[in-house]
Amino acid sequence: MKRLAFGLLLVLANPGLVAAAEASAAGAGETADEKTSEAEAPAAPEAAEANKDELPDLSEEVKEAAAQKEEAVSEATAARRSWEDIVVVPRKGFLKRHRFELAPFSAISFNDTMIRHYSFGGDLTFYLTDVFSIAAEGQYFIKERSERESLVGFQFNRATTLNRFNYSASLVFGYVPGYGKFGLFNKYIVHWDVTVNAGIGVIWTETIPVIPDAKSFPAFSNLDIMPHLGISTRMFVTDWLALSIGLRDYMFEDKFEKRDRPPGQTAAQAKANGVSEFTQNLMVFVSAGLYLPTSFQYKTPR
Amino acid sequence: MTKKAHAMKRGIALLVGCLVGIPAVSQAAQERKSPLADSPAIRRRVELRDKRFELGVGMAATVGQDFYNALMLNLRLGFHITDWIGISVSAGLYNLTPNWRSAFNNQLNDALPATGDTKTPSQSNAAAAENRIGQIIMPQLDVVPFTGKFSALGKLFMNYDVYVSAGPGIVNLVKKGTIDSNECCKATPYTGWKTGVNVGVGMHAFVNNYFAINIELHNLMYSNNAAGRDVTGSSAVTSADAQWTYNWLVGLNFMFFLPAQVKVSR
Repeated sequence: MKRLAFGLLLVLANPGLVAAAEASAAGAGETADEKTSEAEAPAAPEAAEANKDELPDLSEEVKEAAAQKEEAVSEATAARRSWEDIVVVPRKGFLKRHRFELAPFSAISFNDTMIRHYSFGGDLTFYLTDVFSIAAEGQYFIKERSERESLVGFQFNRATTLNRFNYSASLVFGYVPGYGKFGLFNKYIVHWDVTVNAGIGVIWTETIPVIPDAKSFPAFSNLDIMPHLGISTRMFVTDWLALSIGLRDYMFEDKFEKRDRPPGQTAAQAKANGVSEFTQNLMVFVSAGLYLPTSFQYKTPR
Repeated sequence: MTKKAHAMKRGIALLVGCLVGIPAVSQAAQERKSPLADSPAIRRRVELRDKRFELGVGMAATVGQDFYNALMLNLRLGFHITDWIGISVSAGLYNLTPNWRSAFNNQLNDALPATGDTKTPSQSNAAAAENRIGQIIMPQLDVVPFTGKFSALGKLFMNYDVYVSAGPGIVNLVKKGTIDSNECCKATPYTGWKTGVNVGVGMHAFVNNYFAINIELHNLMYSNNAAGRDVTGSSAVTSADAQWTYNWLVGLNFMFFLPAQVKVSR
């Protein structure tokens, strides 16, 4: 009987112990003592007086429980004194496994001094695991001739043979070799990861005739196989949004207009006589990734 | 003991338990304060920059130059006034590749004749008028807003920081070869020390408390006439032909931080 009452007392008092452990030990002890004293008063009403022959005196059990509670408080406080109890990396800040990422992006090329391309497109990625992914990528290019290109004719009496890029589509495989977190001004913690990717696709390009006369010098287009490599870093803003910046190197064999192309050639003839050159298109990307489902659940406790 | 007595005892025990436990819970909840309250975002942080010098050497390469790219022997010196702000000098002291033509320059050279005519410069005359980078000096203010740790392949853990920098940029433009003034198209190489503006971004990846790998990307902006030829159509080459240009540099340096001992924050 005593054990039952004592056990019940401890069970009820226990949440108080845990909470009190985070307050000061002394304060919590005093509080508990006061409550215990208050508890003794209602434990002796007239009903108890009337049945005093049958009722045992529980004051000893109450005191014992209070003493044990105080002991538990001091033990819990001692355990919580150490910062080592708090793990440094509790869990990865963001999980991607079995989620889709829709990432519209914009990019700019920077390795061709004659012509610059801006692109707009998107990646639809599915994460097979937290580190492996497969994606479909599509983009549309807008060209801009550089100032250097415009000066070539004026300064050197020569014209440049250029191709513009129109569209591209590819399949991309991604791997996340590293992740981390940083403190922003030593105040906010931001999680990020780095992704390397490789893919293969096709690109549609089109010649820009040296002499801009569409009748005598019609342009021709190319469809080139385009492997590519890339690296990017991603910062996780919310459970469903990540901002990314990356670099991709698209490589393909492209066909250019021949330097001494005679007038009157059809596009097919000009293409047959064209000059193939290995082309590298280095582009810097910025994108915003929207994740579906919009939330994720951890499977481990910490 | 009767059944009634048993029931009574249980009731009293329950009542006592409630009176002892529940008020303690409520009061503790009121007094509860997270152990992380008022503590810094990062505790026991290794102060890898505060009041420390850094010095190191490495290489820097230009990207996307019109005529000649440069791979340079680089020196970087710096002092971190606080953990997040510092001053440094990054200097490309010696151009290891003065004849490294850009892809465009190779194509242009192939298209130019060996002997110039009335409208077209010769290969050698074109090359003699084109400038290239000799030295670069970039004193700068570094701001370090991002610091943290990363893991590579789940094995290699390193501290790192990312900084942005800005300051003046000084470049020495040099020429190579002599212009034959009998050929067509007046040309005057644009050479000498020029001052511009430098902005950049970089990072340190700390191998240990005193050695770090440093990567930098700079945009050095200065006025230049890289071809040394007329741009404005005045048929003379003057300072008016120089235009504001963006010049990208990528650097890789191996840095030592001094003093080697580091402080640890609270």
